[in-house]
Amino acid sequence: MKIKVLAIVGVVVAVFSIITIFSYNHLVNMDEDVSLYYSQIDNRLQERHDKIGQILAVVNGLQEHAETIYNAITAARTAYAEAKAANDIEGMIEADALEAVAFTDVLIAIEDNPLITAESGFQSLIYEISGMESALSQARKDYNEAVADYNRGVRKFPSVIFANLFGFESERDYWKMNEGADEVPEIDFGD
Amino acid sequence: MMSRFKLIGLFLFLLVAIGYWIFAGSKKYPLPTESYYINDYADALLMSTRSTIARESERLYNFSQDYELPGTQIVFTTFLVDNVNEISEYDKTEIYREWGIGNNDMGFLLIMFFTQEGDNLSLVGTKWEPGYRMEQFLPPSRVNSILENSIYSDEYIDSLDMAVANCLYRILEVVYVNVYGQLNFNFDMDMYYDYMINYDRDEFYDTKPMSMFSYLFSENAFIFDQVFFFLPAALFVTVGGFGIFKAGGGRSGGLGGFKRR
Repeated sequence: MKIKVLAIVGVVVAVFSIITIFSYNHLVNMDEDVSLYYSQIDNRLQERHDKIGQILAVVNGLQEHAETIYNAITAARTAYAEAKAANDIEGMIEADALEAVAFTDVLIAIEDNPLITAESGFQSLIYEISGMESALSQARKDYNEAVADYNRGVRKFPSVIFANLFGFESERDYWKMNEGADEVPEIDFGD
Repeated sequence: MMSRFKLIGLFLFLLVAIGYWIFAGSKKYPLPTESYYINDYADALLMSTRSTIARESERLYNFSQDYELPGTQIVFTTFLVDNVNEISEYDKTEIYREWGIGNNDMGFLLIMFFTQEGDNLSLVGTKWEPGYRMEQFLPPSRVNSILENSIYSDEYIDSLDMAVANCLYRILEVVYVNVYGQLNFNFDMDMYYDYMINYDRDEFYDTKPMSMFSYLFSENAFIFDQVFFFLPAALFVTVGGFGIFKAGGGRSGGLGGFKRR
């Protein structure tokens, strides 16, 4: 009788341990996915900062607009750095949007100045930025999907028990851009 | 009364049917063709061009195995669309990830879109997607330059096959020289033209996706798909049935582009 009780207790403990290990590892995986895709956005944003800086440096025709655009980019970059230091996702998203606006301004300035498109190296940079916007859009999408998985995961049973037990955040923020702000601009030189 | 043998057979059939149903639902785009490297769904290319793409890509894949970044795969695909607007329905990153191009994120996907009027096919746009690691070697500006000088070049305006072959060779040149440190990669389009018009090899490259079962047994199948599909049956019949996992698993981050004709 004693052995039977011990066996039942052993089975219950084993099952509980397996569920705990599985749930904990699953939560860790989801948490890491969110961090991974967040770092992907961060990398892409950094690359975009650099590329826009290169465009402004290369294109002489943008001189008259440069100060305004530089200021906008600098403001966005500063805002992003501050928000990142404070771990403020909303602030980072706002900074991302500010930079998207600055990038659109660059394109508008270029459209107003057709001679610029003839400059050496210009088209390459524009294609790089277009590619970067496409990659950034994908990075935001991947991040939001990872956040959705995480948020669903920590609310489901029995994960919700282990999420509370092990101190996982109950909800992660989405990377929400204003409508149209994350659209990839189409580059058309008419060639 | 149903015999035990029939019962197990019925159970296995149900498992496979459920596996098929779930598997088919998980794929948004058609599977690649049997040759994997060339998926000419628009039936736009000559057999010689398909053969060249398949052979050169396979050669590159095998060549790359001895280097630090092995598993490079270059995949060319064509799709037929009703109009230019339909191109936006094709997500290059999703296709890349579904097909899992390249090991170590060293893949490159080029998609060409065609419209059809009567018997004539017209190239209306291209999309491309490099794997995460391939981005540094084939950034948007370089790919754009390659396309400008090949597929969109006036030099090849009368021969799509020459243009596509030229594009392939230019991509290979970048990979062999910049990724694998070769001193050069020589190609001669006049020689290719001769090869193309005299092509008489007994080869066939299909214009339809491979069947699900072919995919599951192919060397390019995701191991997850194979395990997911075969594991229940394997538990019962205790026989493997897993293909060799050569490619697959490649990821990309959307740093590609779209170019209209």
